[in-house]
Amino acid sequence: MTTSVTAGAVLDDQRPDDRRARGGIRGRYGQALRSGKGAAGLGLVLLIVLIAVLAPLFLPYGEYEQGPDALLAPTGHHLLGTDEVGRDLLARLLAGTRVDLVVTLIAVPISAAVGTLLGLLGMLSRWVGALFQRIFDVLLGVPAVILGVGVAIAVTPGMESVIIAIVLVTMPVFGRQAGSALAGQLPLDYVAAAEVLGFPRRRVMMRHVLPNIIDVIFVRIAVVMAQAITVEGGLSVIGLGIQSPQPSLGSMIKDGSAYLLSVPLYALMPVAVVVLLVVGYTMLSDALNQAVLRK
Amino acid sequence: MTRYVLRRLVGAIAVLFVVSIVVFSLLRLAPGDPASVLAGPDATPNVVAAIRHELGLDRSPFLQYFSWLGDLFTGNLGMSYTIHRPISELIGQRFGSTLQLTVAAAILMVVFGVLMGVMLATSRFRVVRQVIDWLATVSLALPPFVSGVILIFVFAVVWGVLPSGGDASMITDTGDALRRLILPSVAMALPGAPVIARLLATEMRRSRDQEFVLTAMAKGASLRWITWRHVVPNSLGPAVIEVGIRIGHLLGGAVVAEAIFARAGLGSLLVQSVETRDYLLAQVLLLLAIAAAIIAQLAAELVIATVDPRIRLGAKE
Repeated sequence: MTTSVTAGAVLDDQRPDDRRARGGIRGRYGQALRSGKGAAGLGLVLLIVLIAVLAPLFLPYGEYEQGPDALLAPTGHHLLGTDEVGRDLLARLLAGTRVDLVVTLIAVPISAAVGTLLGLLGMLSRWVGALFQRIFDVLLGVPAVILGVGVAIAVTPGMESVIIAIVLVTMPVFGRQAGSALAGQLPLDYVAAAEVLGFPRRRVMMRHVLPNIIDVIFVRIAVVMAQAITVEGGLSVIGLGIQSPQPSLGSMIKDGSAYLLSVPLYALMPVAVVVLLVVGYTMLSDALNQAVLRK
Repeated sequence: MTRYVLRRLVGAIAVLFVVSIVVFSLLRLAPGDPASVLAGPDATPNVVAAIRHELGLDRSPFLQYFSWLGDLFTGNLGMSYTIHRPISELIGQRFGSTLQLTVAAAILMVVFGVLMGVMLATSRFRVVRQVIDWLATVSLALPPFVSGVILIFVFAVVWGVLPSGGDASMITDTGDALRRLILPSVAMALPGAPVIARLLATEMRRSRDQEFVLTAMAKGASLRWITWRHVVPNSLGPAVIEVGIRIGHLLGGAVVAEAIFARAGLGSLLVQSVETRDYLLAQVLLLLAIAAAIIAQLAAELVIATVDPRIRLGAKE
């Protein structure tokens, strides 16, 4: 008994992947962020976050505040002009960006955690694991917008329904990734060693397999954030996402596309923010793929 | 082969069955009672109860599900209770518009994807490869609602060369109908084409090193002939699977594209049915969309299995 406990402690401690190789500015994540592409991607995303959070402090108008002038062209007072009920478009753009950031930053970590755990269930029971992999396959086959419409039927459209939709759309990505990573780990010696020592499978799963596959999950998060932004956009554009008067990038594109002729910036500015966010996340994801997974 | 087809078919039917249960239950989870929505805010409880009875909502969910499933199989889709027309008639009216859009988008996606892929794999000029690679990264960032707005702004508002949306009859007014198809189908094809191009290019680089290419060269075939006749067909595998998945996903894109380009198709009917809580209509359309996605994926798997015996015989790599 004593020997097994000691051996267990040794095994628990021994990460095939030295921690220092990952963390810190000299580690592989640091290397990804110092590469041109990674720095540019992260910089772009952080810049948008900073502007969306800090700029409203300097704005004279709130995002719901209606003024006397509707559909105004950009002026010194309204830098981007005003919408159809005289609200300041810059204030709404910044608030809409914050809504998108909040929704995706809540949904994606939930999706990553739940998806990874469900993907690793194959460790505990082959049958349950296979069942979830099959469910993920089916979910991946259904178009994201269609899934979102399904959610909008069961849950009144709004921030909650969009968060649920993003989780449903992106969870299978993590689930499949964890499932296939698990399949790669199962034949390895350390799993057999833990088995021989009589460890409970849950401990092997959480303390040995999970740390070994966590990199492939982390790296995926960047690209899934980009996908999450497009899910919010798509759902709000068809009117089943964030609901007026609450602004979001998607709902501004929906409302603004009616005024492309008179106030083109109304729709084009949120379009630009979506593109910048997606490009930023994609560049970050490419850099992480290269440095962390050495692909 | 027959065994493989049967296995996939049974699998797909089982999935569809489960999906139908989920879609059906979704509508029972929905907030608000369809009968009271239909009856309006001033209706007496008696009227609401009568409508509930008429819609069959007072029966057990189990019975409701099976009678709905039975109706689906006999082609009796029921009446839309907000538009007051048979659902089959509504779908019939809208089907053409969505079909044209998805077919046009699928063709553009495959043509662009293959052309870009071949150029990416064969071009001698670094610039060409870099431009295509860069285009691929950018268009990945362009979901239909983003590219749609940009296309409308550039081609309809600034240059005024193409209509910004709507649809026309393909039969009586073919030219106008085609013109109205261009922008939405390009918007839908944009995100898929570069993915197909990259898959094809990677596979082409791999198969170019194989001996049949050397043999063909030794026999004096031209480079263009070798590329299109030998290398491309041998490299289609992953791209075909991706095309199947993408075509299934085009239907989701159609929902968004129809909203942006103001087309009266099945996608806008689905959105309208959800907004008006027309549950009978919504559940049929939702099931239809998911079924189409599953069938497109199945078709791609079967195509690739006929081409590649390793897959249908279940060989592991």
